[in-house]
Amino acid sequence: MSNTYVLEVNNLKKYFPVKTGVFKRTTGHIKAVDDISFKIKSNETLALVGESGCGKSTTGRTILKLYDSTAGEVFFNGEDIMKISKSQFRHMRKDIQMIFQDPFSSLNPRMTVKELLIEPLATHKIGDSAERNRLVIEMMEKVGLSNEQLTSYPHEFSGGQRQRISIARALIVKPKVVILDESVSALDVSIQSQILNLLIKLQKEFNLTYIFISHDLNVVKHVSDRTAVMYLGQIMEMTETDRLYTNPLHPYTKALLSAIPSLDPYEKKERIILKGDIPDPSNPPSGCPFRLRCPMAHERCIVDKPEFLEQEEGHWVACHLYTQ
Amino acid sequence: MSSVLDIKNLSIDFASKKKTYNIVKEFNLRIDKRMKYGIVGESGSGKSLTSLAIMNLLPEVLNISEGSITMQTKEKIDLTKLSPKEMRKVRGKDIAMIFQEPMTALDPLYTIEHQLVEVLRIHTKSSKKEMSDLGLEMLKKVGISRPAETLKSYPHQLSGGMRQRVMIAMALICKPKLLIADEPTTALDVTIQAQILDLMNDLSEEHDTSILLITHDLGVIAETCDRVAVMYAGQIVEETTVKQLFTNPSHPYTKGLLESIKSLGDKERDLYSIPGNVPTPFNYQEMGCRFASRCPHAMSICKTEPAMYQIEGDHKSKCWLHAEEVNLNDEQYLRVGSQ
Amino acid sequence: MKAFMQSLKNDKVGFIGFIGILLVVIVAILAPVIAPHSPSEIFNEHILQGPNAQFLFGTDELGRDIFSRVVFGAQVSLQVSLTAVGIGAIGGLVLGLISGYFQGKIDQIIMRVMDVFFAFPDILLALTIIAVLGPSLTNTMIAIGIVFIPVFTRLVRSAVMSVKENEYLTSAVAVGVHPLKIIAKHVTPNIMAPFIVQVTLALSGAILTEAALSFLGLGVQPPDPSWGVMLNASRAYMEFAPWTILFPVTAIVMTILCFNLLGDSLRDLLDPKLKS
Repeated sequence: MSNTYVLEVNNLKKYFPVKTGVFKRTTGHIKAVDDISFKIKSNETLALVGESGCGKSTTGRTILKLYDSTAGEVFFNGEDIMKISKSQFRHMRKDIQMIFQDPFSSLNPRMTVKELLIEPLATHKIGDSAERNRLVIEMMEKVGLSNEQLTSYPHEFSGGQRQRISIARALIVKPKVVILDESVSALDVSIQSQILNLLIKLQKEFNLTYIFISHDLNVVKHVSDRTAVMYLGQIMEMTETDRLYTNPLHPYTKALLSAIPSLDPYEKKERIILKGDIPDPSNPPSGCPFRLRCPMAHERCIVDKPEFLEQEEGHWVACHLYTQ
Repeated sequence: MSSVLDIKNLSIDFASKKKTYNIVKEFNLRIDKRMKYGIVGESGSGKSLTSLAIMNLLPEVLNISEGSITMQTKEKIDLTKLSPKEMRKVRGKDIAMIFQEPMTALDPLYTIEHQLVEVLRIHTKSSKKEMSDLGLEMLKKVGISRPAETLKSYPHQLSGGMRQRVMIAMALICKPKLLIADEPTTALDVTIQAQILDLMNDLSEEHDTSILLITHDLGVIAETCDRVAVMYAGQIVEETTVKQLFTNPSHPYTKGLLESIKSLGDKERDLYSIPGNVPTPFNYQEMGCRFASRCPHAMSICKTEPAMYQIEGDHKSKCWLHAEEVNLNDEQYLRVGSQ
Repeated sequence: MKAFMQSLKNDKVGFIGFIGILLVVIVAILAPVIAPHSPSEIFNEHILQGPNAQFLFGTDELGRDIFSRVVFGAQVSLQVSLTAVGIGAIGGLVLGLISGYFQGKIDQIIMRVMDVFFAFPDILLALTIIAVLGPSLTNTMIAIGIVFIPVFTRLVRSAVMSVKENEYLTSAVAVGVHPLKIIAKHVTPNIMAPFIVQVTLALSGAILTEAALSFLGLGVQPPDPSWGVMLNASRAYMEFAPWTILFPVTAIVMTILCFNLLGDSLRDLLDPKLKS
């Protein structure tokens, strides 16, 4: 079954313990990722969207084993990587890479661009020194940087250029899956589109599979094939991106889409303004996690947690409105 | 209509030991009563510096080298000429400011009530009871569901959205004439952003407060403002009504920005993007038009700095394309293209 | 390095400190050339003489040339402080890196042990260690070194933890770099600034502690000419022969001052945030 899918996540959970008092006793859990499942096909881009604290970044980092998972399976290359030890997984990291949000803190300030790009190759023992140099030069050109910049340090570059370096560093080992954690969020609009174009171009060129984590619904709409909307550690809705934007089913998705500011000052769009704030993830509401802010909430939502069901072919949603 | 704030020809310089660099140049802006004015620009465009200049809060290495900032209080005063003591009377009372980071803008050691009432204590002579009542009323107005409880709580007990509401309550409690909001929703989630923008709109109408909204997000401008100035590399490059800007953008930079956002929906083609990088203040001087190196319309004359040209009505653009005497057959208007 | 020297020159206070220390080092190295007499040579007919042409700084109670003893004392003081700080800094670096990077149980254990060390006043701790090991030059260095370990451990640990906040460490993990290599290549270079500053400040502390221990008779043993030993010996005579105490005290104060000046300006110079 893992032949058709590059990555398969089953019932993944990540709880962070809440420790209080002098003796650091665990008094509760923040359910950052609470029982989520999805599959990604080769060359596909799956977007994880949601507001801060919804668990989208934690999902990415748990898949990468940067955090220990609490429960669940992640199949990659037919193996459950949650069961592999960290030191064994180190050799598999070549195949799953990550690009971070902050272009200013994600590159070691004391390493030159060349050192930054050589490091992944050396770590995975790819090529001899001549081959490595050739790969570095090739990669620099691919991300739109010049060879003269190889001896420069990160602080000599602008945010957009630094993000190009990060991309080169992640892709130089020819990974299969790349997790992009808010990778364009910190960039200015005029630079953001340059980087998005680059990411799309490289995806085609290297046959990459992307997990695109973002809070920016406009960007997600442009780059992703399928989108999963997360709220309080759970996926509320997941389907093809076009379908999600034209025919959202979950009330949360509807509210989220209506909150995107419109660029047309003449159009006053009908806006669903949600009441209140996102609940504390260490103390989520009973039943449906969204019910406290949901305009459609009814009694059943308090008692019953809605199941994540396939409503139409390829369109999954967790909401009682669709479970009669 | 009378203006609340009138900035004329403002320049801000950065003085290092060796050399002085100009950061913001020839900045003009006029905010009328009840107007919601937006400044939009990318990081490093100098948009936040202008707000700090208005508040007289520029860091020491930066100083105003030219221009005036006239504020209509009881009488017309030039804020650049006030002593620190006089300025303190203006801050909080006539001009209030809310910041981007609701997490750090409140002092963690004091209750919300203490901080809310502090502004009143400085600027009015109300009794303790009156101030406390007013604080409660303001919290109700900004849509906090349990105002009495919130008054007694500490900042860390509130969420980001709640804190930004408290900041707005603090800013508006003295009924200022002008509210400066520097990226007020950037740190917030979209659903919370929608709440906060709505609230700012309602309150400014209710209190007759003008708003100066500074943001990098054109969407926020479209939703909230009446007039807008687009800043690039320390200068205003286009200034007009919001409706004009979005329907008929004129400056190549504005056009590029809007195009790159609008093309986001279209998967079939590449995103429109402005090539190159934002210049740094260290090479502004020798640039002429500061956008020329990234501009698809760049001409040889762009080595000279263009003036602010009137296009129609009060729609202005700082671009040679809009100069009256333009003759596109003339050699100096030959297109050289970007890069 | 060149750029670093240039910016140090621009910082006048730091430069004075640097020159002062350079001077002490030169004096220590060239002691046999500079000193007119051997530090232990006794001139019986010149006991407790004030400064004069033959004895620049006067003589002590045994008729030894104070100038020569101060010059040779620089050797001892530098040797003690460099070795002691070396022990403390390396010990603290290793423990702090382990503690800060791996955290969890190992961090708890290391830091609780350090807390116990911290509970004693420096000098008392050094005294206890010397009491166990017995007084000698080597043991003085070891004792002072151990006293410095907790200071360095705590500094390194907190620096490591703030470096860990940076995404480039997560990035290195995600790339698959071995943890030990991450510590060597990504963590250590990025904590060097506060570490080097602490080293200069600790050097001055070590000189002071050595002087104090020797003053108490538990450090360097006579006739070795440490500045602390000279203070100890001159206690009885300082009222009528103030030069016996004046010159070693001046040497201690000036050296410590220079180290502190340099340390303070290094703190500013090495802070990347303050670089233009």
